[in-house]
Amino acid sequence: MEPNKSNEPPASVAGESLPATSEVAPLVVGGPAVDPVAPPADPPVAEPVTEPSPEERDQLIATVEAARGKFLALLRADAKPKSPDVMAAATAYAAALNESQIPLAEEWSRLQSGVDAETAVGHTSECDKLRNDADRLIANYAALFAGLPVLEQAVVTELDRMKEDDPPFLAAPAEIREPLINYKKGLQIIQRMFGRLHARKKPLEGIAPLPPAPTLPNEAPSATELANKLTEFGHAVNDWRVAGNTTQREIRKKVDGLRKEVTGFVSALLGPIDGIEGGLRNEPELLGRLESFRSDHAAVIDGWTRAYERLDAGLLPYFEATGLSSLTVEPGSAFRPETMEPGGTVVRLDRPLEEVVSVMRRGYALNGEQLRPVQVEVVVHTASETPE
Amino acid sequence: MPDDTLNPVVGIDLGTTYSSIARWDGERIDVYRMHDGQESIPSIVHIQDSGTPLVGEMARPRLMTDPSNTVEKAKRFIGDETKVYTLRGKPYTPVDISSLVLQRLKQDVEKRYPKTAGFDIAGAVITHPHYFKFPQIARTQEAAVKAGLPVLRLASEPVAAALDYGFTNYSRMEKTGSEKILVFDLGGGTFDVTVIEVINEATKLTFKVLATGGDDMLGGTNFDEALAQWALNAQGIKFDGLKPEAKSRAVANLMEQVIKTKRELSSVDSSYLTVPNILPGQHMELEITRAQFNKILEPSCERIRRILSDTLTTARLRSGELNKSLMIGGSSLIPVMEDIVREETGVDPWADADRHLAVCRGAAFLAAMDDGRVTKKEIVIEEVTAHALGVRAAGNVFSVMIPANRAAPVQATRIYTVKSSSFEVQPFQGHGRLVTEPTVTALKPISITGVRLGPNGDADVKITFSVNNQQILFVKIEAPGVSEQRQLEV
Repeated sequence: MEPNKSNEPPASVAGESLPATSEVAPLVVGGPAVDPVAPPADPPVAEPVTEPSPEERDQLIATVEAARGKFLALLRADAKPKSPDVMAAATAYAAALNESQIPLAEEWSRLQSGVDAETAVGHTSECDKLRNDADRLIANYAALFAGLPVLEQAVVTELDRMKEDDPPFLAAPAEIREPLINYKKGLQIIQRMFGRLHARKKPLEGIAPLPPAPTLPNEAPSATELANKLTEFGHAVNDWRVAGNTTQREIRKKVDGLRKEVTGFVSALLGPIDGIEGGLRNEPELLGRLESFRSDHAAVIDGWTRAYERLDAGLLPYFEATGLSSLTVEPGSAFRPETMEPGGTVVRLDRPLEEVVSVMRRGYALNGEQLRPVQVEVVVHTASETPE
Repeated sequence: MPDDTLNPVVGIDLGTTYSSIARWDGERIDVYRMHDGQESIPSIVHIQDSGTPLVGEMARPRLMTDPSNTVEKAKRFIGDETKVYTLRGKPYTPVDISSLVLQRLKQDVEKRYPKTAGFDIAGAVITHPHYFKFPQIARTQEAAVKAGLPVLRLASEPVAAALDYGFTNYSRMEKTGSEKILVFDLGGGTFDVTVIEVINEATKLTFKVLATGGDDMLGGTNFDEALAQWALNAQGIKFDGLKPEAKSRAVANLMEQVIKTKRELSSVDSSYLTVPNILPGQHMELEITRAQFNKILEPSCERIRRILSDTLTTARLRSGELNKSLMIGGSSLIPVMEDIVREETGVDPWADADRHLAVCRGAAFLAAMDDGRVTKKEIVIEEVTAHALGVRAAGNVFSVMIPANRAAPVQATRIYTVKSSSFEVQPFQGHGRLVTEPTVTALKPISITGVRLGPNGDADVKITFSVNNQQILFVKIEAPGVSEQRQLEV
């Protein structure tokens, strides 16, 4: 049958007449089977090109995205190194891409973004953090040494005030001179302690930047090369990860070493600083002993004492410049095991259990990281023994 | 292929003062850092008001503020069936406390992974001191099971340390041969020395413990106290009559400087022990040389030297037979300890051991080998009896059947006389003349009835003790009318 080239219904079908207005005619039993409405004729083309339907296109895009995701997953930090899965994933990805008819250049830029995102996590970010830690520790170390002469000078200034050959001092009774000479002795010991710290200085080395992650070339390879190039790239990223994990371990070890050096120095520095705190604490006892001599020897007593107060106040700018901070706590606060250590207990049934009674020794932190907890005296309700 | 990250095998050093956990990461041993960045936790447990346990660093202050609800060093009592701590009114055995420490290690590791990741420890090796007796080893295992750990095996600390030393060599098939290793473990409060022969074959790795010795009251704390006392005497400083707060502060300042000085003397020939204003009007400033420090330690060093020498004699090592000396434990860093080992053994100590973590690392390696994650080899650990084994004889005498330091498997038989048709065989383990001495521990008794007595009203009883490679004691009792065989439950 000749195809009907118009949209008009056929005028007649053998043996049957159809109403002119009818679009869909009921078939008459016994009549021949025909299309009630003939389809429009296709344009005459040599080979029809089948454009995927929107649904098919979505499906192909989804397949490419899934294949890309699978390939990228093999570049992740927790992926197994030298995995044979890389070649399989690269091949599947290339095949999906070829079939999808998505322009390679367009997909390439999406892949590049994905690769950048994957290689930015894992040891790269961890090593950057470690490098920052190292830089900060080295800066702390330099500042701690740079500020030492100021602390030493402050002690020298105090010692200069304590002249043993001054006539008023010589004229004072032994009950004044002896404790004051002993007071000066404490400062001289602190001066020597500060002086000995210089010998601890060592050159500290920073951490070199990591080798950068492999990157995809800007130009996409040809479709035929795609699978091989992706496999090569995937293996290169995996190798970089393996090398990076080893480097990360080494860097962590180096940063641990730096931290040990810096905290070791601070620990030594706390010797004279504790000495200043001890002097400050002991001073009232000395002033009490000298009080009865004040009327006749006020100039000597005032000239020699209060040195620890001034030295203690002078520590603050040093702390600020070095990242060090002293930790203390108000009496009456609740005990916090994260930042405090109990140095003594007092049985007080009228106060809450573990309330801080007094600060026995300051704590210290470097860059906010606690180096030594505050030692406190706390309330207990019974002088109980350990369960052993 | 097992996943070494999500399903790792781990080694755990359940220590008296500190505990740590490591895993095999597929290539090497990786010690887990705890949430506070440390590689170990103090083995301290505190039970809070709510009944919730607090374990580790956060529990430490409670030793002072709430000692009646806080426990440390529970490991010293593990295996002692009579020991019960009452915390917040509830009973806790040393097994419960050790289990809480192990649980805390496990939880700290688990917290690194999201719950959905499916993290699960696939197997664990837990270590114990070589001198542990049967009940102590059994209770350590019980604590691990209670903590939810899939126990692969228990291993003695020196064997684990030897494994850490040899982990590169022993896992390879081609590196075969035999080595005799001394493990010198000097910690904060205990000293152990063990001689081990490691026989490395293509498919089998055998650890043969040749001899062991030690002192569980000797360690770094003794050295600190000796140095502090020396300094106080040298400066004429006395803490008597001080207010408790002033004394606590002075002691804290002094001990902090003592420990710093001790550590410095490990790397320099002289140091200062300085505490200005230690008390009102009193200062401490002393220069101390390493030679002076060594002199202060002399009594402890003499004891260490004697134990070491006795152990080497027991191991029957000929001159030049020892291949390596491993120094572990923080106090082994004191140079004079290396001198002692060098003089007594003629071998330079191996310097690369991780003195604090070798045991935990070795345990992780053993777990990896047991689980087939490293080249699969059969691991055989041949122990010697760490303690003498015997029975109670008349007059509470500790009648030794198998002496200490005998290679297992070992068997011994002795004939005793009884004057009753029913009696009890009470095995004991330890060292001492009488079973009533604190160094002798009772094992489970075995009751015997129905013995046919002879015309004199007595009967001979043949008792056989045998200890197998797994350190399990088998007791066989034969008497007229009776033949009883028991495997001692440990």
